[in-house]
Amino acid sequence: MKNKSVAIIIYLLFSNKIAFAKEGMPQLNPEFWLSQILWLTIIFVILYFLIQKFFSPKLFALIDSRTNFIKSLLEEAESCKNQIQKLENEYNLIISEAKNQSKKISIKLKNDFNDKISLKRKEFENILNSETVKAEQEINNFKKQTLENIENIAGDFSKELIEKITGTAPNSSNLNAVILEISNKEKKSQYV
Amino acid sequence: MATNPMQQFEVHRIGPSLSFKGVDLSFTNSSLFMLISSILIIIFFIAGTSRVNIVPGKFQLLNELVFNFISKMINETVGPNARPYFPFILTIFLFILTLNMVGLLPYAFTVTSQIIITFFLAVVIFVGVTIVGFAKNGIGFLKIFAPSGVPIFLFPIIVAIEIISFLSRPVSLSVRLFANMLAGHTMLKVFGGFVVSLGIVGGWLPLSFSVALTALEILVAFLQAYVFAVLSCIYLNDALNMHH
Repeated sequence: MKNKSVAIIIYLLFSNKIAFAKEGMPQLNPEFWLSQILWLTIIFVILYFLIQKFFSPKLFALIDSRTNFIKSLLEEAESCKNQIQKLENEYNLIISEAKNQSKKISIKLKNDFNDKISLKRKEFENILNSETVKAEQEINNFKKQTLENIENIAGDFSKELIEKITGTAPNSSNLNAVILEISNKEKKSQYV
Repeated sequence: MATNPMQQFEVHRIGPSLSFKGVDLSFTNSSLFMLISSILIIIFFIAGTSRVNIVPGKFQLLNELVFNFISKMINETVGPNARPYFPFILTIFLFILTLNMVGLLPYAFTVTSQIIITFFLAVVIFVGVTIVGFAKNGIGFLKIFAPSGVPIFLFPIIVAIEIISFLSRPVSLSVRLFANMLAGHTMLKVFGGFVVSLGIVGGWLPLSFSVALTALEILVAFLQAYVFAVLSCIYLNDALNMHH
């Protein structure tokens, strides 16, 4: 009795759908519903099992290994960058030290050169002074000598002049005495 | 010449009849295309994972593209604690996508245009998510029906709405996919019928519509698989993270 009522209910439920399916929508025909559910379950479970057990772990592992590989490369690049930075700092330090040293050497050389120049200048000045003194002495001597010779030249000139004017030769000793007297007077007037 | 556009959705037996206690469990055209789609997915994965390299080849790249796409989708909707459910969501997405795409081929059968298939998949997800929800949160999972901050006089109505909304999830999930596939393929068939009936002179216009519709259907095939997978993730998120 119970089975009969269940069968009637199922018939009433599906008869409508079967009628509807026959009219237009084959999807509502329950004839192959259970078959489709069964095959869907079998195929889906097998597919899920294969993806879950084999493909998914393989791809996860691959992506993880690639991520790690990229990470390690990035770390390596970072360490290389740090090393380059360190070397650059060392290079800059060496360059700045060399610059300072060259500056110091250049200043020292300049000072040495200036000292040597001033020393040489002093030496030259000393030589110049001594030579100047010598030259002045020589000039004075020459002046003295010239003054002395001037008296003789003046005597001879005066003698010839008087002789030409008067026609008689004057006494040389008197003439020399007069010229000497005039010369002495001139010298005195010059030195006074 | 024009045939019934609904004829393409008829399920018929392939091979010998198989029954258990009066229930017909025969292998049908629907089962055949499920099998073909699964084999295609397996071939896709075998081609992509047989020779894996750090620098990927064409198939490996495609595999990784799909893998990363689903992984990103799950991370964005559920979070990092959903990693154990990743293979299931990936299987659901690829299975529906392949069934939709294979169904677009001429003379192929669209498995996802069968309400029983989409409904069964939706019920599996619904039941699975409910089990996960109770397993993770215990009886506290029932809080999903009782949103906080609701005035006391509105509480019974809100709880009733939430329960109806929760119970209608498998229906909305299955009918959305089924209706999209049904409508798309029916339209394609109708326009195809127009091409044949109008002949070489007048058939160009419906043919161009058919081409455009095929392009749209390819988009819909992908979109529906994505929507199904995303909604599954959202339901899973409700069970795992209890945002309500």
